[in-house]
Amino acid sequence: MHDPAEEAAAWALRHPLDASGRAELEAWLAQDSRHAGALLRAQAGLSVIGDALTHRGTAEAPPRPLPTRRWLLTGIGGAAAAAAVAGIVGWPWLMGERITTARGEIRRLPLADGSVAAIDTGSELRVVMASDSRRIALGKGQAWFQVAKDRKRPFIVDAGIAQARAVGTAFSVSRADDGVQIAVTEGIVAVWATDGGGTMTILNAGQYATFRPGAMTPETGTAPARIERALAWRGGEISLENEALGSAVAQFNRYNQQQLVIADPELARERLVGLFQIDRPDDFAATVAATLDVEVTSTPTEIRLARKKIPPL
Amino acid sequence: MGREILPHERDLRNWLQRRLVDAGDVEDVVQECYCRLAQLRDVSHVTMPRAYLFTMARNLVQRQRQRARVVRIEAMADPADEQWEIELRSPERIAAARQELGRVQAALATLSDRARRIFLMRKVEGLTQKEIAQTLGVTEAVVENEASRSLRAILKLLTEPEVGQDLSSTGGVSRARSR
Repeated sequence: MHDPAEEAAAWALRHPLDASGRAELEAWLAQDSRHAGALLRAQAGLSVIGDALTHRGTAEAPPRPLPTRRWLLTGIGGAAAAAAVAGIVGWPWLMGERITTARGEIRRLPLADGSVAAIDTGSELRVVMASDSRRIALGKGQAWFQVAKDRKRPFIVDAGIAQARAVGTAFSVSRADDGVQIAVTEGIVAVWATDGGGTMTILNAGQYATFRPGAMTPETGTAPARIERALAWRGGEISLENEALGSAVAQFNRYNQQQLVIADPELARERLVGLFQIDRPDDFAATVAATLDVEVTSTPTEIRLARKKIPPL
Repeated sequence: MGREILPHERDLRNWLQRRLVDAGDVEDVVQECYCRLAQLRDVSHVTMPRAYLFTMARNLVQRQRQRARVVRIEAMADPADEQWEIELRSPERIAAARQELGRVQAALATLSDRARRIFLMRKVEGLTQKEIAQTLGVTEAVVENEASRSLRAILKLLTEPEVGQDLSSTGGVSRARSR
């Protein structure tokens, strides 16, 4: 009996797919234009069940920030968006797809193998799922990966000067010009410098490693709370724990078109504590104004923070 | 995208049911919507998934009627319909998300223990169907059938409109009525 919904459920559940499985799936998708739709729906259902069983739903209600009007304004690159759809819809289109996020865009992307990538603002990565490995090339920016367990296919992130390898765990990789940082939130991850002659460093949950250009070994440390805080962007938030205003402003500016500007350098050294919405620099500025006696001047492109002038007596 | 559309499928079915006579037509329109979503290569224009889904469905219904050469007096572009073009606002979105979660949990409660374990092993431990079968001491076919049957049952529970459902319980509908 040919029932697309039943077949779609079976396909959504079948993983990992080997080469012949992928070919079969492609054949099935080609049979009837409705099959892709049925598969999309079954995968969505599976994702809902998985989230509910792991109680992520409770923490995430409302789920992740749904696309807002701001996203409409900033726009998303066509190719990137297509890649994202490919990632959600099915396996065959995923091979070597490039995914980018625009400024202010944070994307949660389910990967074909059941892993999930949370991709930070202004990032670029490429996903290649093969039968013997799962590879992500991080061109720039930051991503956090919840890796589905698959002992036969290691999950490897290549961030240029450094690499990280996991089997089933969660970790983030951040790539910038001055270095690459890998932080582990669950399980164990092996990291190494690309030119490091094969020396690996093993990181446990709560540990991080920072690779600087030219250095063979990373600086490592243990800071579980700081790692979690630094990953607040996954929920669309910025978490500040005694951070300098200057660094907080730099963080907001990575996500928003409307840039925060600090008028005097001395003000940039003020320390702040708080949890803020990434896309609300105006709320952040209002809080700063209230706590630090700062004057806020806004234009559509800029929010200026300056010490209040004390009127001459 | 699918994950963002699925929570609205039930509302869509309710909405379609109020406009279409035949349940088979409702099914066709819903299927066609998913099909089109799956074929989208570029979702940059989809910033409001709910509105997008309803607009797509409305166009499909209109096309279907033209094909059927049935001219209805009832205007499809009823201004009251435009309410869903406004995406749920934050408080409503939170309420809708809670409602969805409650619905999902009620649906999960209908799962057998084994099905629940299968989904958990799949999701949390990332085990393959084969590994799950080994752990449970059953054949892969048993795992596949149980998971597939449960997945379809839950999809059905999540998306089928309840008979005699209080239509004003969804934010969108109550706004439509108040206009």
